[in-house]
Amino acid sequence: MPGNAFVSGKIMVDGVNLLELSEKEMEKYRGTTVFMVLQNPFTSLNPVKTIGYQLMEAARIRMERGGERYSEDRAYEMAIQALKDLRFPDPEIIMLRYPHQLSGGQIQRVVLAMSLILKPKILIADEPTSALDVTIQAQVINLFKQLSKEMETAILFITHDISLAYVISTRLVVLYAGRIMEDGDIESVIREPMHPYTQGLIAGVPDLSKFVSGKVKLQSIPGNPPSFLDLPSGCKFHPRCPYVKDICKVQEPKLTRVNNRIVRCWLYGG
Amino acid sequence: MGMPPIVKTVNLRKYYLAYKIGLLDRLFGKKPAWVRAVDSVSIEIEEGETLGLIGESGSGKTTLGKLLVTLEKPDGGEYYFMGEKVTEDKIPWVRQQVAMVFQNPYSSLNPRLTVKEIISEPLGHFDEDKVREAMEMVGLNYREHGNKRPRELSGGQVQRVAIARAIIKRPRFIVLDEPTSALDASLQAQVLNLLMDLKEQLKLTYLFITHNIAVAYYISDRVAIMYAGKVVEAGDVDEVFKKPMHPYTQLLMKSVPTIGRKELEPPTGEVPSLVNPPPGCRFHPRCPYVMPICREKEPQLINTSNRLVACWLYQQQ
Repeated sequence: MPGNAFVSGKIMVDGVNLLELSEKEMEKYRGTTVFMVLQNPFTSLNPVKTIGYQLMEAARIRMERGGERYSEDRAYEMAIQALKDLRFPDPEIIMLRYPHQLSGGQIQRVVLAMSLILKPKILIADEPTSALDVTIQAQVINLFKQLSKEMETAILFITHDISLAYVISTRLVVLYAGRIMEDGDIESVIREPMHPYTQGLIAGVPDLSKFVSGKVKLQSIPGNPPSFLDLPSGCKFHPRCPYVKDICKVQEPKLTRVNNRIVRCWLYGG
Repeated sequence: MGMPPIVKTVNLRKYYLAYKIGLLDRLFGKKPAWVRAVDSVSIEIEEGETLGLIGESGSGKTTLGKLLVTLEKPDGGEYYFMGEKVTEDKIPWVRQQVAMVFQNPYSSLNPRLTVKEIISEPLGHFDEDKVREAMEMVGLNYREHGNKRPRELSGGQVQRVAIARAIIKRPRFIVLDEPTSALDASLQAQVLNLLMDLKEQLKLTYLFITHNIAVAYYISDRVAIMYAGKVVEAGDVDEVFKKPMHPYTQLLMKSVPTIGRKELEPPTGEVPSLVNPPPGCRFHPRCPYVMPICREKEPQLINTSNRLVACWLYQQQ
């Protein structure tokens, strides 16, 4: 984040507020507690070190934090095993390669192999498949699902693709202009979206399930997303909302619990 | 037969050099390696239709689009535009009637020009009435947006500028290369609907290049699927989507994330290198139905029950 960014509030991980930690204490949480997979896989690895070096470094950190003594043979084994788990046919050769010699899908799998070694409690994935092709994306998504099942890792999957969110997640949080608009179980949010923004978003998605009985016209949300420099008053979605009321323009609604859903909208009592 | 198809290619080819060959390389006998981006592609696009061209990155779909608007010159095969064979001296005539919209409008439009300058550029002179009309057709306001530069507009608006620029000369045929893939989810439907309205209004023909299967379904009348520089299947959009015939198309459909279906079943392996494509059928290393002949001989794109398919499963060996 830029140096002048201002963060307040709390980020609680396992009962510890990460924002109160010093940079040095924070180091201990990176990788083994929180791990992030970035959108562009080419910038997430060191271009001048081999894949093997980088995976073994991860293995060393895992061992040190787990209170084990570092053994190079053991680290090599762990790296090979992780690459095998990610379906690399010849892991020994991949270990000797540099990032630029691999394809986007392969690098994204290397990053996932790294997370397999580090065994984080939380895996944050920021559009990890948007640079990948459809078939490779499907391969990587299947790996993510398998990893979360096998390692019991929580995944925060950031995406703008609702169909993809449906496939990978169990719970959906919808953000608009920096605020949570809706939060609930994936099936129920997709089937019965409550917030007008979620409704518009889902109506506008070209998803194959909509075209089962022929073509339907996609509905689009009018207008553009707001600029953060000049956010609208009241509810941030009101200029684009079809159900806008007077109160929406003046006062921002609070997150309210409705049944098993959390919504920020005056339609549901604000 | 009525009108000839507006676009027709016969065995169109485009090869690129994979790396530069210097004098020393030549002296040491290094052989040039070619990237076969488009390899013997034969397609037809009828006037007034939208052909969706689906393919993964590196399948040659953008190169094919550029060949059709004469931004690239083919290395082999023939290209017929409105029934006329396109030769060197016909290129200016073709260019009068075609346009292209690129994926990233921020990099395809000149950042130092104003919106009205960008839109009027293809005319060669500034014509306020025409610019105003084109801007209104794409939902932009001449007074509000005309003097702005691309960076002052949002992604959806800049793509509208690119579309206005493409239609200002009233072309017959437009190649749209992933025009919505860089856009925000809420804007994608807006731009797709705009493109469909413009097509009706101006009687356009589109080649819509995309890797998004659902978008292709929404906008196309017919689709063609490319794999490693070749068209492997083509046909009516509903038929191809309901009953894909080529094993690659089948697995591609099973890879598309869709609401209501939690499981994805993609093909194993990756798209092959175009420098050294596999012998025989290019999909055979990933194909679940591979037969001995697939490894040896390349299947031709043939017509089976109103569908074009290049697969040994559907032809005599």
